[in-house]
Amino acid sequence: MKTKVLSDEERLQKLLSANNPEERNKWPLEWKKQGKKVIGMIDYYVPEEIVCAAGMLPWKVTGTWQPATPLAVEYRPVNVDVACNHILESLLRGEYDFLDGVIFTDWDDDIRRLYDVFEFLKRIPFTRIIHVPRNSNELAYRYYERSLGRLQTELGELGQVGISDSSLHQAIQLCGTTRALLRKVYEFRKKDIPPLTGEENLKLTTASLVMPKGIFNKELSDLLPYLEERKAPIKQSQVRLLVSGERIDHPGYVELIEKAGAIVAMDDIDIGSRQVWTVVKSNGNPLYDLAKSYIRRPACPRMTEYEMQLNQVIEWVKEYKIDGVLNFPHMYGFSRLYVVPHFKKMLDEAGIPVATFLREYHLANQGQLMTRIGAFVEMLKK
Amino acid sequence: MNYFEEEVERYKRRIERIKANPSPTMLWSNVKFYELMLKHYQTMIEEWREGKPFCACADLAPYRLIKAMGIRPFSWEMQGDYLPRKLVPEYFRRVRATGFPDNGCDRVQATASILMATEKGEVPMPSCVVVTKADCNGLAEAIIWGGRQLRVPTYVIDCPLASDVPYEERWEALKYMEEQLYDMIGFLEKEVPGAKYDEAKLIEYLHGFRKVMEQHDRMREASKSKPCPLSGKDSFRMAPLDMIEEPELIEYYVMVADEMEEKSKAGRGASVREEKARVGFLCSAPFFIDGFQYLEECGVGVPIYEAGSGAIDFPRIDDESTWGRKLSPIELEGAYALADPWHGVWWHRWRAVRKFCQEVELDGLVHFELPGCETCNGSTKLIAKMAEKELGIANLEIEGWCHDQEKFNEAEYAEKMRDFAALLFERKKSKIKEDTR
Repeated sequence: MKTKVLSDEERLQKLLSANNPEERNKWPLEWKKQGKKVIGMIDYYVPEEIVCAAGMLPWKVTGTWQPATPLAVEYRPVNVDVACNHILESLLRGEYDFLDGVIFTDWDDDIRRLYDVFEFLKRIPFTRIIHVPRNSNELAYRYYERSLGRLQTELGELGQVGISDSSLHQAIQLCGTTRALLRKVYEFRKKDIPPLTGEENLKLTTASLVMPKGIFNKELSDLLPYLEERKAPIKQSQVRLLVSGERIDHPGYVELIEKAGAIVAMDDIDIGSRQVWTVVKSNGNPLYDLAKSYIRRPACPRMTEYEMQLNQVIEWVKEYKIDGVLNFPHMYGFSRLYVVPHFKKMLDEAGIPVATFLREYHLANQGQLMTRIGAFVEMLKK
Repeated sequence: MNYFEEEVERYKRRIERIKANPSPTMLWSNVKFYELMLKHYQTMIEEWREGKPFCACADLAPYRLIKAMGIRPFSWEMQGDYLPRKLVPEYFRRVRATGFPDNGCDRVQATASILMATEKGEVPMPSCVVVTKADCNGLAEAIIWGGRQLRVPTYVIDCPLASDVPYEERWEALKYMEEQLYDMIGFLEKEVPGAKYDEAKLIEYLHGFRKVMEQHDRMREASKSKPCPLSGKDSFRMAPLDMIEEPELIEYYVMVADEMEEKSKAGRGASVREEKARVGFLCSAPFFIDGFQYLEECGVGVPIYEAGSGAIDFPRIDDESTWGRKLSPIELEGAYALADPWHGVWWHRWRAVRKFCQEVELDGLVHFELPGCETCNGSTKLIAKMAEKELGIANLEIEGWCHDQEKFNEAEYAEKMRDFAALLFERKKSKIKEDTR
């Protein structure tokens, strides 16, 4: 039987579908068929490189996109970070039963408390949490390096492999290639008509977090010439927005913004630009290099250096010819909500229009959000 | 008249009123507490006028160390807690107008509102900000926002997470805290004119803190007796964290402990004469009413509040038993933040809760959940499950606010408390029946 040769567009669409609910378990299950282990990654501050160096698949944990979380509320209240409850719901439904391990950080109090429930339930054999320092200085890099060292040892024991410096260097190169390829796509986003819509771009960055890096790199590398020429199906006159937030992994939210008459031409999202912009500079000690690079990656609101990130957002607004910034925290996502006044003030001072709208984790309140975002877009057109 | 001057007048009136008409249920040492608060505000006004440096901070800040540098620690968190009821609507209006979330914990909103009060000149402008990021993101973010907005030197202490080992075995974490505190000393000496670290002063303050903790031990011991020698309202009372080691505060706690021991020996309860059950409050309680009265009216004592006096074993100077050796003064300041049961993973909190549940023989736990309190609410259900499973303790989860009286339904609150009291009595009866079978 002949294998159908896919067109570039078909290959692209296939790549973009990697984190769809019906697709996202495909990669880890195939990985496991080869006798290898899969590690769930809750937060983007844990270096994927260490997991890769252990011969395991780092797999971004996505919560259920179903609206109800009846099982999760047995363990967590409803008026807390909604993403956490959706992740817990998936755990309790058995959707992560294939995982050999899961790694958390204390990104915020809610994630810490989500770890608590995972640890309490003990459904995943290897459940770990590591402290990610909030400051960016030598003391913090050294502390994080030691924490990563322990993780390296524990993952080595789990996989019954020794994780050498050489395997870490190789993994740094592999993951670095993924991000370098994605940065090229981000470079294309500066065009008046970018190759991908914002929705497609989010699908692409999340695909990079659930697929084996080697396969993803090959696909994206092959598709780059096509992407350089491709034009997203949008009008040139559309308002260009930058979206800022955490744990926006449902592309429906970006689609909704774009349906309201804007193009999301840039993002300040943990699983978007902030992970893509992470460059691990090699200075000979891979764990220290990883610790430093991950702490110094474009900052999220939990980090003391968040002020620098706001300056980065202002820079991106200029570089990507952005008309306005949409701050898009989810309900009870307090780490972002608490910085709303400062976020707004900094952007106001820079003359950048900004609006904040709250969202759920699963796709909800679409009509209301469309109306409000539409009004913001209309305001920007004037 | 500024806010502090109004507080001075308010405490003067309150002291006069209590002296003229003492409450039969409350501690008479409360007069001493109000005198302490009076002095606290008078000192703050004096130092504000003299232009002495203030440092804005929140819970788990190294208060003693900041003070040992000649800087007045000013806890925005405690100031938020002490916000007079009449100011709450206006202070909340101001902070919410900035876009600060109104669906979060209202203690955090109150803390953040001190920033607006600073901008309006109602409270002192800090020379610096020191934040320990540990158990509560919200409070830390509120103070960090203050540093950013006021553009004053800000130092953030990154408290590492306690995970798989008890805090007192975490030498690496302690070392990290110590390194940061030395770094902070250098930062403040450079950034705040006149700031200079005086180790002798720090040792003196740590000894003061130890004396306070010793009185807390006596209070906890006395709390074991039934009926409870402490009212719920007094178990919830906390002195400002930024004056925890002052001599008058030690005197106050000595008086409280004396009074409790006296009641205990005489078999007299504070608010409950015939105690039928007892509960502990977790997380928080309303500030604007006596949130314990409905239980006490039913005969339920409230001897302990989770973060109140005697509930937490903080490390002490010259103590070798906790960490296995004496800690240096700077290490002790670092260990203080690591010891907080709300920091770390759930079982750190459970370890502390279980200890006091057993020690003071609680029959129930009231989880007063502040909407938006990720730290407590996120572990409530695990603590409740463990309390029920391991200790057979009943749990009441109730949502409420500390400040925001407008959202409070007193009748509903009272009914829930009475129902919980009835449940406790029923369970006790069943247990007695089972035991006699």
